[in-house]
Amino acid sequence: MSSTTALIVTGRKHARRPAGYRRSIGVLGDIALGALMVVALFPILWFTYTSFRHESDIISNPTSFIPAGFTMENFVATWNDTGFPKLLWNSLITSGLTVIVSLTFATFAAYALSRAKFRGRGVVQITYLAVRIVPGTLLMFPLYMLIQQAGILDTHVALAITYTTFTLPAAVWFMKGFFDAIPPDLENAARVDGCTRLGAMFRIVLPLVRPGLAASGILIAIEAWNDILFALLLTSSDASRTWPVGLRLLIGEFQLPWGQLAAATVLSILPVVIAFAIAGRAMISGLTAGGLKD
Amino acid sequence: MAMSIDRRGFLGLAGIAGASLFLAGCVGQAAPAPSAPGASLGPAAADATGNISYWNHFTGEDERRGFEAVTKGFAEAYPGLKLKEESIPNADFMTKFTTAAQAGSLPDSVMVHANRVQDMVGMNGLVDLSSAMDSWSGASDIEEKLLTPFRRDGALYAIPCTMFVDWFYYRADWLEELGYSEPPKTWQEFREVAKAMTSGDRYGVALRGGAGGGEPVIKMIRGYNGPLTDADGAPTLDLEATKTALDEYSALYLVDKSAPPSAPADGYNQIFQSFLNGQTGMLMHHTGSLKSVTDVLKTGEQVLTAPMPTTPVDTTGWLQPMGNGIASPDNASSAVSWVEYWGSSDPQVELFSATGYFPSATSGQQSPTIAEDPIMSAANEQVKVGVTPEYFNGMTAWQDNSVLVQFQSLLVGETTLDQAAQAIVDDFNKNF
Amino acid sequence: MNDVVMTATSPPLSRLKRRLTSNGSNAWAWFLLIPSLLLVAGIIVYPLIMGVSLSLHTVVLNRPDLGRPFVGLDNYIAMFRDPVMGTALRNTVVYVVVGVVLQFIVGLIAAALLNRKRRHIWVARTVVMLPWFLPPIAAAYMFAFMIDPRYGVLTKLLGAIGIDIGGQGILADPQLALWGAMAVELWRSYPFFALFLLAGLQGIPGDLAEASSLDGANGWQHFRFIVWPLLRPIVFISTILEAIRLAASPVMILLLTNGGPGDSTQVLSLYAFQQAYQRFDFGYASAISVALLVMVVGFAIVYVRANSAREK
Repeated sequence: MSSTTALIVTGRKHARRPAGYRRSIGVLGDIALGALMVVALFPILWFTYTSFRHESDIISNPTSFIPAGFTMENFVATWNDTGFPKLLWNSLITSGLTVIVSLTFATFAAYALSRAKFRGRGVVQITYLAVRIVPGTLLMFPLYMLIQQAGILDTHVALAITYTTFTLPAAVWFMKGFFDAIPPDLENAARVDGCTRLGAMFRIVLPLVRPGLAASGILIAIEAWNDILFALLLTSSDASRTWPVGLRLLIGEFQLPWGQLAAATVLSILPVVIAFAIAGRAMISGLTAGGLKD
Repeated sequence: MAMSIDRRGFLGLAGIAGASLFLAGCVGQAAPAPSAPGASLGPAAADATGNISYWNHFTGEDERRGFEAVTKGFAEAYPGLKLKEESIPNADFMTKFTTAAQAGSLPDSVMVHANRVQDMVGMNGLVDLSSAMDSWSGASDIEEKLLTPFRRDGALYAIPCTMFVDWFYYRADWLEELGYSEPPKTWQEFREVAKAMTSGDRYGVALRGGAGGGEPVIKMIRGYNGPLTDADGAPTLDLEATKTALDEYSALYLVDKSAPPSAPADGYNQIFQSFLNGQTGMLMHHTGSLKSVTDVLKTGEQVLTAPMPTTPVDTTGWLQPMGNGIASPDNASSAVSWVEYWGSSDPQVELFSATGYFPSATSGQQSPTIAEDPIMSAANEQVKVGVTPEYFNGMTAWQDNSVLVQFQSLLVGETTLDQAAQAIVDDFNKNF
Repeated sequence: MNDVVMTATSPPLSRLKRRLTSNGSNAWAWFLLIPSLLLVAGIIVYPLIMGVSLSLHTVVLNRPDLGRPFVGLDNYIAMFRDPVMGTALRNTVVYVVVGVVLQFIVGLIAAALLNRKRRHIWVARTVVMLPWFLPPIAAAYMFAFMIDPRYGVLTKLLGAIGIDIGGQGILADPQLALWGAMAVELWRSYPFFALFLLAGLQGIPGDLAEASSLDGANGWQHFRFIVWPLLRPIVFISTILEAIRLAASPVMILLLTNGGPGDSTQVLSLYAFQQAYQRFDFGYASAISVALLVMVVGFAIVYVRANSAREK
């Protein structure tokens, strides 16, 4: 029922609940949201606070809210001594590559699955899902062999291929949902006018699922950015090492420098937050347009 | 999302899978044994050129600094040889080594911790160095008992470059307050001092029941049992000795209450933090952590070291050498130069200055930097009486998955002494 | 409309139009699918076959004396006899089911709270999402630091309001350790649900809410009959993806407790990993992994069928 229908029926536009009731629900909601934000933010803030403290201060007064002084030494040490800038750069390139390759293939596949009704469609969909189910332990050694024999150990490409394999299935499923929400009439009309299938996809449908593309892209980027297991296995030097490996290497056999660890974490979460702040607003408001229907 | 997996589609998939299974009957061959290198493995000439790939697990600031000093010295001795090193976190080292060994892509040389030799050799991941050792002038500078852990079936698989000497740290000020003039020497004395130190917020000993806590338990077991295997490698672990050891060690937590209540999960960080923050008075570890302790507590005034306590049977203090070996025979002579370089005393003393890691070369141990440092006297004493343990196949797995697990369960009351000891001995015997 | 067009035009054109509109040829679909299918199959099928093959042999890497004999189902039988497997299985089920349910509930509440018109609501949306951006390794170290029984800031704060997690500490207590790990996972992963549920909620036209309240429906009925059916597809996709991730990935537990104390936080994915890279028993590790895979795939198929059935 649309609001115009409601108008006609009752002659009234607003709900019948008293205004005070709605306001108090609103305030309750605000409080709850505030609490949630505190829970989400507190550990991160605490870690950020830790990154600005002297190491000796952290060890002797771990729970103190009043630091013995602020310092940038942790950031300086992490930035200079561990080659962090290069690691972050590698992570950026790898994640970027992964997003491009994974999203492209996923979009093609999702479009095909959405528009074409053929036998074995269900099997194909479960196959994509099955990929994510295979436990890492089964994958590690064969993947290493494959990459090593292809001669691309310690390259961005190797990691990008690996991450594409994991992220593609989720992206396919989500993108298919977005495509399903858009009726095929528009493309059919375009094709009657002489457009090819791919042309119709690019010109008509893709612009409409842009928010879905953004959402899937963020999903892919985060998974690629945060992986440690395969980064450890497939990289061996600054040539392609990503930042999670750098984080793990900060930890000595007999040393755990909390300050540097915190600084490294802060440095690595910054790009993600920035990317989300830029893309996220568009994404969430746009997700409403696409919707995820069956 | 409507999905119909119709029967034909499913059968098709299953059929393909089944066929491939039969076709791929091969399970992968075992990693090929590295072919023995030429007659005698000697180091390269001083003006040789080439690259040497090297895997190590030195991470963290101090280790990296020490390692840089060593590599700098090597570059000066062999200006033409370039060392391409890769450092891998210790916890993940064997994962990567295992994978590379299977794929046949091991580096020229690797860092070899004594407790990994068995596993690495089992994977055909190390090359016999005996011929290199025979022709090396520095061979006589290394005590035989430090080489034993690297020997298997008459072959030598690594040359030590440093070692970890067990000792325990104690709060000298607390000991003085209580009126003791000397640190405890036997285990009973140790328990007594720990109990005396426990009062109010203070606990006597930082007990490691969390990650890495299996090794101290094994040291206690061996301390009450004697050698774990005999000269032929046959198991000699006694159930009663195991029970006594478990009993005595867990008594710190269960009976004397001289260990903090969080002991069952306390790992490396927790025990050190508790010691450095004045919650505990004694901490059993080894020379490797000296620097992290003296960075915070004042030597002599607050913290001193002492050799590990002894039992009526044996000492509980181990000497664990760490060395470098050759993993792939292709670049052997260059790799041998590197391995032998670090086996000599000068780079080892440099490493000590940065990290506090004890030299394995005898002349290095006698260098003034170490011999004249009062806090190192405990290490020197321990080196004389310390033992290198009998590393057997499956030891690390036994340590982490059986000994530690049983000890944790014992501490939290989930198992009895008899059950724990029995489980430990049974799992031990499974390896032989 | 298409029929009208067809009858009004000449035969060849009408045949072409029929082809275009009735999806007669699906070659183009396969053309689009093949690249990703090849990539996925190539990288997954080989390890899968190898894994199954390994599980049927004895493969202990540091025991070359044992050879690599074919042992049929011995590894699987050993699994049944292994007491740790029972614990690991139980823990895995708890970890996954309770984990997904809790994450979903918190995510739903968060989504509902964020689905309101407020100025600068985007600030709240970004903040609430933050835990998900943090990599597991950082989250694990961070929380281990914060709930340390002696030195954790959370320990101190909770102690101030009367909740004592000091003493033995959560991660040291065999009864509580798994719940501790789940709490960290909950904190880290609820934004995944919050994000997609929010998108779903925002897709529900506002006038539907007004209309239903005009009809006298209260909040709960509105949720049950209006909101829920529209959210179902999203709920379905996100829950199954998250369940799979929790089942297959050992990273968080590996970093927080490594299966301890004792075996109280052992889960199947971690157990397989340990068997492979600590005991070097690849045969047994593969058997466990294959068993895990079969279980999860079975669950997925059942879940998918149940979801399709309910829609009809």
